[in-house]
Amino acid sequence: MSASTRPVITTANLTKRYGRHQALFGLDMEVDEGEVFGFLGPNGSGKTTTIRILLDLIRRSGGESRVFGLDTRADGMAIRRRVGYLPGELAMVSRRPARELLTHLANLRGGVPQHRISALAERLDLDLSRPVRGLSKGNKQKVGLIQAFMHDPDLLILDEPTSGLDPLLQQEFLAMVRRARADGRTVFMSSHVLSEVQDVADRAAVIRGGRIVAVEDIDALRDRMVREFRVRVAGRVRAEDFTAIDNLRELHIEGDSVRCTVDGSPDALVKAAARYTVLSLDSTEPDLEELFFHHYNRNGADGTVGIEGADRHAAA
Amino acid sequence: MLLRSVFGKFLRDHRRAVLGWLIGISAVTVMYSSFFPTMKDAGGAYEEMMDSMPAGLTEAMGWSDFSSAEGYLGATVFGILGPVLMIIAAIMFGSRAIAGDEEEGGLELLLAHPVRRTSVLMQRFAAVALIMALLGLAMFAVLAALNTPLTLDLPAGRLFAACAMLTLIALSYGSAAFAAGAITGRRSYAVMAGAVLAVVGYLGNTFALQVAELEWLRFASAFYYAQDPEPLVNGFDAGFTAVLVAVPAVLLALGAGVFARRDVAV
Repeated sequence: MSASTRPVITTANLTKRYGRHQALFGLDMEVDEGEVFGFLGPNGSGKTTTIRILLDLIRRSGGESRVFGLDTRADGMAIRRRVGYLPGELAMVSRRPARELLTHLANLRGGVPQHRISALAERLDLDLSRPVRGLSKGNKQKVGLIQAFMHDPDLLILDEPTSGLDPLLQQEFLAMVRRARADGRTVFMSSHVLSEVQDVADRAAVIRGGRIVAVEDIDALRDRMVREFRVRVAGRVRAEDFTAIDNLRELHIEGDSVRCTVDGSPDALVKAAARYTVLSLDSTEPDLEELFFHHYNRNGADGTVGIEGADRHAAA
Repeated sequence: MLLRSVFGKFLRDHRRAVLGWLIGISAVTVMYSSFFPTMKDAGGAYEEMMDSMPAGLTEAMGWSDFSSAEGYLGATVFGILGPVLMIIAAIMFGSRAIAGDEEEGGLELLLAHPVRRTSVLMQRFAAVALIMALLGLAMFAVLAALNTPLTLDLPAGRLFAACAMLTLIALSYGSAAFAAGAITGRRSYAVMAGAVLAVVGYLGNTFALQVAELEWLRFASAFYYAQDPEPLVNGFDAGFTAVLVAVPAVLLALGAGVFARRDVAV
């Protein structure tokens, strides 16, 4: 899945300051043509700020930011013509129907065939005749997705795209992203949880406190993933079956249940549990904040990740 | 057709509000001006009452002569309620055009499209100006229709001039709200800027005239430029009209200068 050499998004030493508050501290990032790139970070880490700089909605304080090789400040119009954007918080207050808003936005881009809009709406199961003001959060998100995808842009910039979508629609959305990639388009999507992007992204950057702390293949990132597991079995658990597994941490064994945190693959845990009759098995993904705390602070020095941000955070 | 431009979409989105204001302003104009025949008949009695009031108050309020159509309309429709309603409408549309939309989140989506910020600003301003012109025209239409039945007997040209000047007062304060919103992105600042300037302007051309030290205030008042030439008596005055056309233009340019450069939706 190694992408072509032409970068679609480039930032170099990108900084942003809002008055006294600094939001970005020298971001370096490159997104290649044709890849699906995850942009991961906890809330308030600078994801939306970065995205808004790329669209020239806000202006960088320093450094460089380019899309399609064009400067975001000088060539915002040319860039936005080829970008589809889904804002993180989509507020729509018009009493006019969704179709009207979409037609209007399409016209600003020189027009999109009505059947294209209708097809996307059908796919996402959205009634276009209803006023946008009264739509639920999920339905507003659908309107947002349609306007981002409808003109088949070269680059999709999606800020927290799956928030508000139910699981079925999330699948539909992922299919849309995969199709965009198959057509050679580039997708840049942010999220505060890894699981939202791990199924579809090729690579991901992890941002924290306004600094990129890692840029990795999604598989490598997933391997670093920490998950919390709870297993309940019939009968008593023999502690020695689990204490021997070396990628378990914070292991708590109580009567018929096991609670632990797993680094990377849960394979060994599942095989150990398989010796019993498993009554239930739950797994939760800790939020990114926790992931960083466990991983990048502890193992950050293993060379493959940029540790500067993590170190400074630890010092703060 | 309206969906092709930012200008058209703004009008479309505010169709209901515009209709509401059209009805409201027309109704108030009808009701207010309908009292004129009564006033005219009771002319003498009112003159006496006026004479018994302090000269300063009557002068400040512009109550000169309730028994003439010019005097009556000038003090009522064009003096108090008309300006109040028109200015409220202008500030409401002006503050909503940029700052309101920005706070609600709509502007972010719009500006992520291939549109220039100055173009968006101009188109939204043009839409607000058109809405105000429609409201002014509605007033004119009502007064022109009632001209004969209510024995106003004013030439249409002068009625038109008075309505146009009133519209320009409102547009001046609406532009202040529009520009403050474009500069700050905060609807509350936009409304405040328009409202404070309007109140200062109103006082500056009424009560401040009674205080020698504050007389200069009238020059900061759109009311002065609109009402001092007495359009109901004299029709348009080129110089004063030019001032009231220039004010929104300058405010728009100021707003555009900052809006093109600042961060949006933060």
